[in-house]
Amino acid sequence: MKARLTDKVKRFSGKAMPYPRMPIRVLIAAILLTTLLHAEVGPQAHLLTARKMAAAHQTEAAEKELKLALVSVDLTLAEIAIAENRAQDGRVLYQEAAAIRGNSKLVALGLARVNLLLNDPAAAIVALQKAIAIYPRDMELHRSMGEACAASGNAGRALGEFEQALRLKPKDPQTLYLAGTAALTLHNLSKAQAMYYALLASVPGAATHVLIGRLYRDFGHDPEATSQLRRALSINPHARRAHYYLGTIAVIREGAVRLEDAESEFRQELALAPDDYSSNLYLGVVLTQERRYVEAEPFLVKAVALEPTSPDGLVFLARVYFEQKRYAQVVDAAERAIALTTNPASSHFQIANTHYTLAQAWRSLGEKAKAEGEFSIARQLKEQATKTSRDEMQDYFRNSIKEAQSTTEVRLQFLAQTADPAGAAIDRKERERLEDLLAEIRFELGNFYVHEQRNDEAVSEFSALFHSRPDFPGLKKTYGAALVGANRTGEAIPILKSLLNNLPEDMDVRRMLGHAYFQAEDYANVISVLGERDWRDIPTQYVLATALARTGQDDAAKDAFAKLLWKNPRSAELQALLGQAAAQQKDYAAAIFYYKEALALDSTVPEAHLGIGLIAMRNGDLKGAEKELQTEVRAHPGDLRAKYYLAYVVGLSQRHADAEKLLREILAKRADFPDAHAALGKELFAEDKPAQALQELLIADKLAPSQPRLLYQLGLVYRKLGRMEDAQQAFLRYRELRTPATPIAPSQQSEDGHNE
Amino acid sequence: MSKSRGHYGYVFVVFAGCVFNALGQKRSTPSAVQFTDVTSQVGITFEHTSSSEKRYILESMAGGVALFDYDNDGWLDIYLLNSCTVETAIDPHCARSALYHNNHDGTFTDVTERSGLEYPGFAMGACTADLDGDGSEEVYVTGFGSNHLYHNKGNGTFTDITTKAGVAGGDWSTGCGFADYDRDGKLDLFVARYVYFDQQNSPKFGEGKTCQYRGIAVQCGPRGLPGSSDLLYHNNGDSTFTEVSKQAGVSDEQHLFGLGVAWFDYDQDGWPDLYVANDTGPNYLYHNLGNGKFEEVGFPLGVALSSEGNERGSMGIAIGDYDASGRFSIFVTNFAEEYDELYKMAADGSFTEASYTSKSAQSSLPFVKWGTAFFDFDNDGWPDLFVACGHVYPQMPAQVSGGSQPYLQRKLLYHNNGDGTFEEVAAVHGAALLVPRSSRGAAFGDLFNNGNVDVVVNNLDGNATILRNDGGNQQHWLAIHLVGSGFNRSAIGALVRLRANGRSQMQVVQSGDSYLSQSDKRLHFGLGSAVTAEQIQVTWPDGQTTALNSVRADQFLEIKEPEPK
Repeated sequence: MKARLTDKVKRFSGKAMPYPRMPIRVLIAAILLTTLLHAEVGPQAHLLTARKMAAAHQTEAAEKELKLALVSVDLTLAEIAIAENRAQDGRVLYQEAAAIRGNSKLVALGLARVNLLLNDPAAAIVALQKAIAIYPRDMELHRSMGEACAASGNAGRALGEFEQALRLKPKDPQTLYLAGTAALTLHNLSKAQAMYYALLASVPGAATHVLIGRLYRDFGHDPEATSQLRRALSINPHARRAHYYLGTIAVIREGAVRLEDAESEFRQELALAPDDYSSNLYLGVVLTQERRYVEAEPFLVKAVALEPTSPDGLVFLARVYFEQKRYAQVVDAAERAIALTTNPASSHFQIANTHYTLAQAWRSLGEKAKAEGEFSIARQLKEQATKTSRDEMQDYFRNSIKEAQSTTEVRLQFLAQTADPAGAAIDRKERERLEDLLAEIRFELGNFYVHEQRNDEAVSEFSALFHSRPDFPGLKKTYGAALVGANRTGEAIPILKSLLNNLPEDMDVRRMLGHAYFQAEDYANVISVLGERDWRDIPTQYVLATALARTGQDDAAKDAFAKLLWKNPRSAELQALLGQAAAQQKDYAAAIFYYKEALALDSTVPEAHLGIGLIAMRNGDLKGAEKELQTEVRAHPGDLRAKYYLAYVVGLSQRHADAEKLLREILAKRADFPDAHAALGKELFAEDKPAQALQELLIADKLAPSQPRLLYQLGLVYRKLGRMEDAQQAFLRYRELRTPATPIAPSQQSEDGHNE
Repeated sequence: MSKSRGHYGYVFVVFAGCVFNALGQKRSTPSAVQFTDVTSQVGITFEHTSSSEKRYILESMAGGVALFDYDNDGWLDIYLLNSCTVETAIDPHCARSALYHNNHDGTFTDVTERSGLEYPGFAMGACTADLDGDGSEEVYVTGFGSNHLYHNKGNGTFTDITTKAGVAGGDWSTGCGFADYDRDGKLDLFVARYVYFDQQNSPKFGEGKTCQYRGIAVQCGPRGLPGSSDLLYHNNGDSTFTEVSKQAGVSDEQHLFGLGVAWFDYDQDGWPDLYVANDTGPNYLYHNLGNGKFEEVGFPLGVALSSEGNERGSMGIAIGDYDASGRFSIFVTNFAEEYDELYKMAADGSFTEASYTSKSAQSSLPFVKWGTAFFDFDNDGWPDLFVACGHVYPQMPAQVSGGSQPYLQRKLLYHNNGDGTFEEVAAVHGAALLVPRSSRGAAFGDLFNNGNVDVVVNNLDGNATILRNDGGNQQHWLAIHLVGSGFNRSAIGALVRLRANGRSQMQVVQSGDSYLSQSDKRLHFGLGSAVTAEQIQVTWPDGQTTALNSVRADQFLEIKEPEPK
């Protein structure tokens, strides 16, 4: 059974920085000053300001500054992560920034952009909608929204957003480019042409013509594409990719008969860039299709050398070798192509034909069994084909020639064309400096939360820091403290244990570990960690005394309790602890006595009202229980367990919507609270929302499996949903767990001794 | 029967060998051989009816034709199959097929009404064979909805015995062919089937990827439509058949889109094998295992796909020993932008693709190709090739578009150069070959019994084309009419090897060939300058052989199978 520790215990654990209170007028001035300075202030400055605010006991202002510092670093590091192709890391950083500064335009733009890069346009749209509501006349937001809409397939809305962006900032090249793409998607050629005309006026040059030509090609407007590409070449005969795109137009559109045009274009592109992989590959392919195998070979060999991990060149090289009767080389090329094909489903045409070519080669080499095996595979693949070889070939060209999948990538390419390349470099040292700064900020913010007894938030910060910098100075101690404070002893114990091994004389760590073991009901370890030492603080003395009692060392326990009482006759915390102990012994009258004594000494002593409330609940006095629990929650808003019990009582009073609200507040702060999920599931079920109830119950079951009451509730919900087999399973498990031979484990009982 | 024109004709042929054809290619064949369109001249007024818009694939695939001597007078008659539109398909009289009697004087008379072959429904193709050994050939007509087996009563009329025989088929049948696959002396029947067409639930014209061609809205399919299995009917010997497709292993479990059918013994082990052309799918070569079952060997033998491994839109089939190797090669006609496949058989029994090395491929690319056959049009002893062409989409532009010719297309005629290569020579062998039509089935035979092999082409949207071969008989020839024993009087499956001019030729009697068509079962050999065939050897379906030596050229020779001892 999890014994409850007072908040006082948590407060004594891992104290870091003091955040005393200040007069309110000074606080407001500090906040205003901070706000005014925000636009010009970097993360280091925010951190320094936070420290000043803290020293001046302006806790709210200090927290705000810490968060601003965090956001600032998050944004920068997010961009660095994205630039380093770590988009997932970037998203995490942006999400953290958004949680702190959801109204920030920069954050919204960044979050949208990274979500688009990660092919999650829906998330991008959500982020941008919020920001646009606040900044409706921001061009960048509208443009970014347009990109998100385009990525989610809503070209109509995308075009609307782009047009809005253009109204706010006409002639913006990026927007014009994107708007043109959206227009093409909507088959509105004239609008696209207008956009691109304006784009060319804004950014004239061969490169722009090439990009536009590429887009026209992708959308099947060959005459327009050809015109643009030819125009590019007339401006700059060495314009990169123009010939290549012209070649691909010929390949895609003209089929197997007219490939001379394609060949000419690819050759011209190669004259400009002999090591261009695509041009080498496709010239090789075209020549292979034309059955000019000897000519095709060097280009395919080069393509293979340029991209050794791609099977494409090898597929056609195998063909080339086959037609020249070089069967041993066929086998080599074909087998390599097959081995490199990681996604047969998307390379169906290639892989089926490669197996067939390989089969023919084996047959020619007299390897009948191998030939039969390959023929068999080729046959199976052909039988699975849903398109003709011709269509597959067309798709192969179309898909493999397509270079960019999303407008975001297109825009980035366009930006790469128009941006200053010198500005793109990322300084590694700067990144490291920022990462160090981020660590520092997280640490300070975490400590702040610990001091404010907001242990869940502290755990969140420390956890993020622990993930990247497990050896950050002082982290383990404060992290351990936060975990203990958040009742996450399972995570706390290994950290504190490891720390104590290194620092056996650190009494704070020893104390925290002892309390953690106590929460985990590991009384033997409580004694081993805390015993033989003189503890001054009441909670630790209490913990040790209780552990002695629980391990049957009654005499030692008696001595310890006697000493405790003698030393602290007027300690409210001790009275409250005694009240808990009495309640655990089911001596409720004594419990109430002690709780009231505690409150008389200190009306804000934690858990006294909670204790009284739980006893009232047990006695069926729901109103009384609710009153006490409300008082507890008001005094200690960070005490989620108290809030949980309040929700429980409110639910028992049939006010399910109110109970739901309370439970959702709890879960917003601590999503891994299984009892809260279970209770929420119960309330939702009572509100006739079985589907939602099921979701919550399943989460609870995942977090804390094999809880009988939960299983019973699950069974009810399944039954309501008509899932009889699942219901049966749940009830079966419930019965198994409730049989006399398998008594319920202590952890399944409530913390106050009540069986739930 | 006219003989070759002798010396002067030969000189002319040599002189004409230097003439360039209309395509700018140097040709080496006598242009004295001309194909002339004599359709109206001979009295053929048949017109194929079908929807001009071809909004459904069902309306694009018909057009079989059968040449057979229905009245046993020694002259080939013509049976042209007709089909309906989707809208009229429900009417059993929606389309009138036509049987033309050869009047022996260069003209034909429509005898359909009396014959009983007038309304075989939504007809696709036909194959013929004497099933009951009475000397008169029956006709099996494939179609959409139901097939028909017509018993030849021997008096110029036919009776529909489909139901009794149990060979109605159903769904959409296309190619057919008779052969005695189990060598029990009775001819069995194979029927290819194409698409399972349900008008009510078909994808709409022009909608979807499978209903577009180069951005043009066209009929849907065959891809995207469900396919149908194929059928093998075993002849029970009592005018009934039993469907044995699955047991035999030829039921096409993949439900590919079967079209052309050709029975021939590819490995010459005495058991007829079967080749099926599947549209947009791998073709089948069924090896007869001799125990009533077949093994599909198209992939390992290299005749399922192109050499690159691509399946084709395969339509028609021609079987022939074009290179005098003593082995049969397979020629398959394909869709536009797909060259026709020429699978040459190697000594080990496998096939290699010789399409490009034979030079028959390149010129075939722009056309959609259908009826075909190896036939020696100039009687020089080397089998040539003819291909009937026509696109399936009337929506195609009038000009050449991309890699495809327009909807109406000319014929292709390939002269065999005798060195393993062919030369496309239609331009110099008659303007009739260049008339663009939407052609489908083609059947080959000496209509006028003059030693020239003529061609009858069934065209969609209009009249048929009777191409009379004028001048082919300037060189020597020999037409062999085999008469089998027992039930297989048509001698289907019989193999004839003929040696002349120091070279061997080989042909097989087939029921069902080309594209949904039936050609003359008399085997026509060109002998070139040889006035005799040094040796003729017949291998009968039951394994017996007949050998003849020093046979005079320029005649129709009837060889009867000796009765079994």
